[in-house]
Amino acid sequence: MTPAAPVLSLLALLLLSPPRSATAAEQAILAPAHSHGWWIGDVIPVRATVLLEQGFRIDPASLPQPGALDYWLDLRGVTVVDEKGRDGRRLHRIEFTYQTFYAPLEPRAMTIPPRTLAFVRDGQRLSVTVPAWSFVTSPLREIMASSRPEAMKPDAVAAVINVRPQEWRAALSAGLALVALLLLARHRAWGPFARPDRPFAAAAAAIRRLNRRGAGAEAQRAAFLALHRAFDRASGHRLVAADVAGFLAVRPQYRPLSAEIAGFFTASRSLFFGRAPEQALARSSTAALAGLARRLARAERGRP
Amino acid sequence: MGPMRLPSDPPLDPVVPGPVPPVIDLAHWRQQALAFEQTVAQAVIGQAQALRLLVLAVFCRGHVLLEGDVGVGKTTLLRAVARALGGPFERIEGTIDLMPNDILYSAFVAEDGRPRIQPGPILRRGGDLAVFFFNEINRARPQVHALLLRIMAERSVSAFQQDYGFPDLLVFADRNRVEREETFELPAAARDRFFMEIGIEAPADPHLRRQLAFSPRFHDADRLIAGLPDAVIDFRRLNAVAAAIQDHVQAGEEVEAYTFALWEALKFPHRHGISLPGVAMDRLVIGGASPRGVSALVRAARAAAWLDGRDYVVPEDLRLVFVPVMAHRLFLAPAYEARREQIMPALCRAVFDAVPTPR
Repeated sequence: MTPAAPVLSLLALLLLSPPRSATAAEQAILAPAHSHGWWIGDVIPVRATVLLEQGFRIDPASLPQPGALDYWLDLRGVTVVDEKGRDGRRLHRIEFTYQTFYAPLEPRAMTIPPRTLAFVRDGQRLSVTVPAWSFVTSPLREIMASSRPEAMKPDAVAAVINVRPQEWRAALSAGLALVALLLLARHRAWGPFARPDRPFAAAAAAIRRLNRRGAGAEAQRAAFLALHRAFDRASGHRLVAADVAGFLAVRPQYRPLSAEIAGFFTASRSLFFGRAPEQALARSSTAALAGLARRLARAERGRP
Repeated sequence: MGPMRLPSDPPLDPVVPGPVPPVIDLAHWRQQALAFEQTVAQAVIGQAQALRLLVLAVFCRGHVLLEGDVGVGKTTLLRAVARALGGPFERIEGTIDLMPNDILYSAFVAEDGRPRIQPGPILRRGGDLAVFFFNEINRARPQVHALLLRIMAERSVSAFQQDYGFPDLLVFADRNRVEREETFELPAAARDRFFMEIGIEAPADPHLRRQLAFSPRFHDADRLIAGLPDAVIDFRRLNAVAAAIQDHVQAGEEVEAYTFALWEALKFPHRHGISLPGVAMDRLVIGGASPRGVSALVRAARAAAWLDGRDYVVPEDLRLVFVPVMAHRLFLAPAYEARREQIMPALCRAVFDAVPTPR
């Protein structure tokens, strides 16, 4: 039997010797509540709180590296948190997470070694020792009993993780993606958002803009060209005067405007190819072309 | 063997500059041209488009190559045109053993047992020759093509140590596209000399086809041609008329830009976003579409405008003559040459769809 481990008080107040300074450190070790009943594989948290004057911070070099400390003891991690303490001081909370792999044949006291930490402030250095801590570890089962299959414990029930928040987040993201896709489809005129090509409506708008900017010869020529390009797009190929009859035959919605369309092509022919473009310009106007474009645009939408 | 004697009679006229032509009434000539067209149309039915193109070629003084299937009426059409045109007419059949000399003169042993040399088909009629008809041109050898090239390009030929000119000559040639054996493809230069290549198809209209097959009128081509009025127009004045048409009809800036854009698109279709199924556009065209070809295009378009009663060219005129004037001048990569008949019309259509007008 090992002697009983020294009981650490839950709140042991220690005053450690400050080197060449009057800086005092208050240290509290919050070891696990019990120092017995530990088995192989148990994770042992050892917490220390150190109350220090403002400005001290832990020297990271003094923190131990996680890893095997001994053949039976692992340090799995160290976390340091500092927060506001009383009297304008800072409270540093350090938590060492140990794991024992000691396989005792009888209850036995083991000691986690002491650990010295350093705090620094403006060249000042303060050492604080977390004292050794002993605990009693015991075998898991009767040593002398022979192994039996019945001794096998059933598998631990798998812990059910609550994934509801993730499900909500996924659903929300999918919804947002869908909305974005719909907006994109509308912007790019995909699928159900496809707008019918309305070349004459576009031409009417372009001529309206030209009309607003002024009704010079340039604007008039541009208006003619806009209507020509609209005819090209509406017919699917480059439409010239000779093709008008064929165009009207396959696009009956424009037939009521056939006289006007023929007039437009005649005027365009004299303007662009004829011998007297000035007369052709004088005979037509941007406003008249705008009117024709408007009527064509209405016919394009299948309205009278 | 004694020295060869050159024929002394009939004397062959060298080129003689004509008298100053009187002022040409183009409106009257237009009526004449339409009458000419109607005359030929009596003998050749269902070929309105080809006939219109032939009339344009006649009034542009351009040589014409007719291409088509066997028995669709190529020869009849050309003979009808030659008759309506009036003037001396000569023809020769292309064969694999035809040599240039056979066109220039014929050598034979006369009744008195002495060798004689007489002018061949091209020289027989002297400088008046109006139509020289070369049947099955692709059966003749390249040597013959070379001679023909000179006749077409310069309207003159050297023989008997003398130059003979044919100021009013039009060369009509035809070739059938069915056979490839024992034929010689026309060299690029000779093809470029042809103003137009007109494709002749049997009429699509079943009524016309039935008429062609069953009406006795069409059974005897000789009688059919002989029944046409002779010399509807004065072929001697056509050169002056052609020049007057070119002066009279305006091709404005817009048409100039359009023609140039068409030319560019035809030469470099890939740069104008043209694509045809199963064709690598950047490798399709390897040459051709020469400046001479484009000038022919503009001349033909001017004549078309005139025949349509206008004094300015519009895009429709260019479209009417574009394929016959340009297609045969374009040389395709060998991989596509075999599919020329499908590719060329599609390419020309695509070119017209790619280039906007007016712009």
